[in-house]
Amino acid sequence: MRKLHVLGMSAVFFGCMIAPAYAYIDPGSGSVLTTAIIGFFAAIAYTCRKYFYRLKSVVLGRSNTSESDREAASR
Amino acid sequence: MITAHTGSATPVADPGSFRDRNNRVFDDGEQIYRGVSSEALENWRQVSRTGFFRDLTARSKIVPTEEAALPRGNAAELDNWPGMLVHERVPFLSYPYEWSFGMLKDAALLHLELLESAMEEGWTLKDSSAFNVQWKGPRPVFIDIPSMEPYAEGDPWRGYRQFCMMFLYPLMFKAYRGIDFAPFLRSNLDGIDPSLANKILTGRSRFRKGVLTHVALHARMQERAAAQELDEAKELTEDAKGQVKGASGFRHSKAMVLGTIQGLRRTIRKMSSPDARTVWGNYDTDHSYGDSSFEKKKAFVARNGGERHRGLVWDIGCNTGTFSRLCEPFSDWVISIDGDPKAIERLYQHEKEREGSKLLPMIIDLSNISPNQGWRGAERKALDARGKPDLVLCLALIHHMVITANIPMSEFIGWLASLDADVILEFVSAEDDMSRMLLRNKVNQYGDYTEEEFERFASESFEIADSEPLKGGHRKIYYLRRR
Repeated sequence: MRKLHVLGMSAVFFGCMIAPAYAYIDPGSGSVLTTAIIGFFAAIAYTCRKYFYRLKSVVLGRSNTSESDREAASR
Repeated sequence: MITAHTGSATPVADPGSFRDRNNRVFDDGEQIYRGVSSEALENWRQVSRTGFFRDLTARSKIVPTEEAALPRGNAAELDNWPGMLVHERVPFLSYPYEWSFGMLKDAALLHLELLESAMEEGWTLKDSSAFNVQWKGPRPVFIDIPSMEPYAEGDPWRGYRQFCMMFLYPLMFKAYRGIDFAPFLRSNLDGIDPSLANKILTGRSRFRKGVLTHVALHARMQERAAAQELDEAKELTEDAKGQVKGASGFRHSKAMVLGTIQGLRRTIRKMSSPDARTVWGNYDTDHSYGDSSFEKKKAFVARNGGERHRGLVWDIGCNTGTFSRLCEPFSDWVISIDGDPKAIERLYQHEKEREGSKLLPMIIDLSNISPNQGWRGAERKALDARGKPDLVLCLALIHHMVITANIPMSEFIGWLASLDADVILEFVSAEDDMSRMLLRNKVNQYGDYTEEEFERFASESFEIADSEPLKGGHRKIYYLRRR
């Protein structure tokens, strides 16, 4: 229980906004909290990957980066 | 290619299209129309100009759609909608509980590809229903255009829960536990609940990719939120006059949503079904044939099936799809049906690589076909209510229906007749080796299962236009023209 409280509070720490849910499917508040937690870590990985590919293309030059690298970098 | 409105029939509202108040589907027998609200119309006009939308439509991943000017006054309901879209019709509707693992996986990847491309340009999808993906042959195509809306900064991925329930968990059941997902998806049209998934994906599967986060954590969070809501509800008594709290949200960044989507794409791409790994090679039920009998059978099907052009062909009991492919030259589309999930999975993997394939593989138990489902039994159609075939192939199947499934022959022929199509049927006598195998542990109560009785029943609804003996007289193939 305490672990969940800490997780929940970390999610809250990273920005909390009262936002009414108008979507016609009901995501369920539990699911929104889950996307916040998973999203937090996923965002770090996403951002790292994005800058890694950008760096790779800058350092190695475009000819040495593969098509998929360029695609990943443009994200 | 969308043609102008030529149907003279009045478009009829689809009884199953009502959940989204912003649009309603109409069908005039030729084209699919969608009445849309002004908001949905405006969204359509904007999204159809975006790069990702154009690109995915050009690559046949989104159903071709145009704005339509339907003559007013055709039906009272049509006049109520500020806008009208027309969609290209898909060859044949199918539902996730009829798809093999590979098909659901590719549908999931299409959904995520679309969502990711949309998010890059500031758009998103309102929901993640697996019913929003249909098929053109063995290729998945996204059909729910009105679910595209502008992405509001700070919004979470609203379709996450539904994506888990309809795509991710079913795939995990098969890939991580070897459990077929069809029974779950057929019974519950919303998909597999996180709590149920959490109970099934235990033990070693807990440590497979994606389970701890998308299943365990998700289920835990859901249960916790539900408990809190229950406490809150208890306080809303008439005397206490409690106030319902608004939904609280956490501001989500685009990176959070995109990161989650990309992670799911990677997870799903890596999944594989144990079915595809079985060492069956090119096993074919026709392995018991000599070469000349097999060639005779193929020639018979090509000659009689190809008597004229057929719009839709059903190959029931298709196995490896040999005879489905034989029908391609003279048909628009072929529905390849089999009750064995392994056979359909192998067929799908083969067909998706084949350029120009017209086959849609489907897993159907013919003794218990997909029924009418949903609200008032009108949201999802029964298999034989989605459009009649023009030709039905029923090869090496009837002995399974009569002997194994215990369906009386007259009943089975009656069902075939109800499809209002010509039928090419291979009668497998009780003396055939395969029939003998099926009868091994059964009391032979199938006294009327003879060629004479078959011809008598069949003649009631069909004209026996052609026939040929096969396999030294133990089998006979018939071309039955519907009267």
